[in-house]
Amino acid sequence: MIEIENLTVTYKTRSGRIRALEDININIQNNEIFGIVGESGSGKTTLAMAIMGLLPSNGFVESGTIKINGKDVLKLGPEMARRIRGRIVSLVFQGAMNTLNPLMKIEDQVAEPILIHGTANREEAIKKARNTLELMGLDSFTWKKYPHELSGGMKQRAVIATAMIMDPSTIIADEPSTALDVITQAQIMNILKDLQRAAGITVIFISHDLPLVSEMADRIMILYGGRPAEIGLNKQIMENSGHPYAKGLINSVPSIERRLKPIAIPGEPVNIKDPPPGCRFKPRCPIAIESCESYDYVPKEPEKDHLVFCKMYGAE
Amino acid sequence: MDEAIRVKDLRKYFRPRGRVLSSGTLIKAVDGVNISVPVAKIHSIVGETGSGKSTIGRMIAGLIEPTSGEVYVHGIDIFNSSKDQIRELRKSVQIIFQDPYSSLNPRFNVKKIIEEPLKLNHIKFSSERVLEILRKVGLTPPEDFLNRYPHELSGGQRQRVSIARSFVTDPTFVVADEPVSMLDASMRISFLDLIAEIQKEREISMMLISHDISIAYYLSSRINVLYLGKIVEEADGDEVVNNPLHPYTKALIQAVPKLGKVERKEVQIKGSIMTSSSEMVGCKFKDRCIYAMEKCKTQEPELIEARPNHFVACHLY
Repeated sequence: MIEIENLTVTYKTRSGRIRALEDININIQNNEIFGIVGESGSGKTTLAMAIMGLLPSNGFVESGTIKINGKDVLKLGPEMARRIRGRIVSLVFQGAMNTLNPLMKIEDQVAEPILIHGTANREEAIKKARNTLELMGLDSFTWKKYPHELSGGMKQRAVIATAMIMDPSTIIADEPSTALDVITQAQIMNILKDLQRAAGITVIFISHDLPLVSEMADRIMILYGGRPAEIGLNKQIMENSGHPYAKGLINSVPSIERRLKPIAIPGEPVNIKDPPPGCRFKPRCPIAIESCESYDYVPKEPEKDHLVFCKMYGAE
Repeated sequence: MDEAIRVKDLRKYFRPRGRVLSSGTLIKAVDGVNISVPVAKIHSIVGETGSGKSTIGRMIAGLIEPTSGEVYVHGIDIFNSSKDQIRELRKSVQIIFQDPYSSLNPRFNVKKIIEEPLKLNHIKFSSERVLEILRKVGLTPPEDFLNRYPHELSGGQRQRVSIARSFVTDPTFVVADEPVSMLDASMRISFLDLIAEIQKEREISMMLISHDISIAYYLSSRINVLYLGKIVEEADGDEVVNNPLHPYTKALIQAVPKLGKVERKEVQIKGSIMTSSSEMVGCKFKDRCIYAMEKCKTQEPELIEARPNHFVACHLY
């Protein structure tokens, strides 16, 4: 279980401090797929990095706690944090397939974490690597290949195998399919779903693509400008969304199923280097009033598990 | 109907480098494509990475030469005409690129970026022309943007500049190569609307290249589905989406993420896209096709009209 309380993350830059995440409170249950949706600057990758303890050197946790299986990981020393990475929580990030070592055979790369963590000898490690690759739908044909001999989809499967090799209980997938074609993407999504069901792992699934997340996640958090806009069960968000940004995102999806004309959200995502006062969605919001310029509201809870972070919710 | 573009049996073969394939084998990136775009209409090419869609776009825009085949823009063969004719033609054909971060010169300010195609094409222009196109793409007030450099603009603003640059020469034909795939989801529709608005107003003919069938469908275009350099299906957007015939088109439509569908979906296709080489015989899709028959191994299917105005290249029909 991952419990995040009042998490605020700040980056120090030459032009001042940037708050990339503000006041995040979520509990991610064992064996669920938790989806995080956000555009550029929403803080979704910062959240993944904070959980992994991999924030860049100019980023730090200003306040809050991140507990993984009851342990506050922010209080662990670097050595302990390193032990958690890979073994308990593992990360597949955007463009990860481009980080494969071009000079190493696939099975060696997948086995590498075992050798680094020192939990088994080489022979066992390779055996485990092959098993894991097979689980990802990569047969013996690929084991001794080098990355350049594989397609993008195959490389991405190998990367997920590397993330799975230490049997982590949670896997964070940050835009795991962004550079892939829709068909390969659907195949990888099926693998992630099967893993979650068969191996009972927790998946934190991060993407800018709301339809994709809505096909995967049990629960969804929508982030905007570093703050939560809405959190709820998949169904609650999809059928009964309360935040104007969430509604806007849902309505802006061009669909091949319904003939409803998608409606664009005006403007551009907030620039978190220079956010507007108060609610960060206000400049694009169709229902904002003047008092939205102060961010002083508590989330509304229309139903159990469903939180809407909007002052105007229910006030119309 | 008048034709803006006619592409006849267009082919582009590459000789692979390295030892991946045996020597003498050619990679057939584009392998005999025929397309005709009527004046003031949008045609789209939908396909995966490696399908050859961008190669077609670049050949039509005259940026690369085909191995064989012809491209006619308003009746003029762009690879077999006098230099003067081609220069004249260049003014009327423009391309919108995918990446607003790398397609704008970082050392040019907005004014210079927009003026460049006018100058290169020796078009006389007034400063009002630049202001007008900036207004058109929503960069208002335009005076505020003239002296800015790309790094001072947001991603959305850069893509607006890129669109302005493509339309400032008053082209009659535009190739839009994945014009929204680098933009945040909430902005995509407004960009498609902007492009469609200018296209309609100025009666521009357009070739949209996209990996996303829902975007081609949204622009109500005629859709060409491309697989390994061949068109496997061609019909109006509604028809393709509601009545797909080719097994590949069906898989593409199944694979598109749809809001709020949580069940595990079956995408009826095997493996992943390969490379089309000259050694390949029969249908190029056969190894991934769940309906593949004996015939598919030896005989390449022709594009036939299986339903009114709906073409498919598959032995099932």
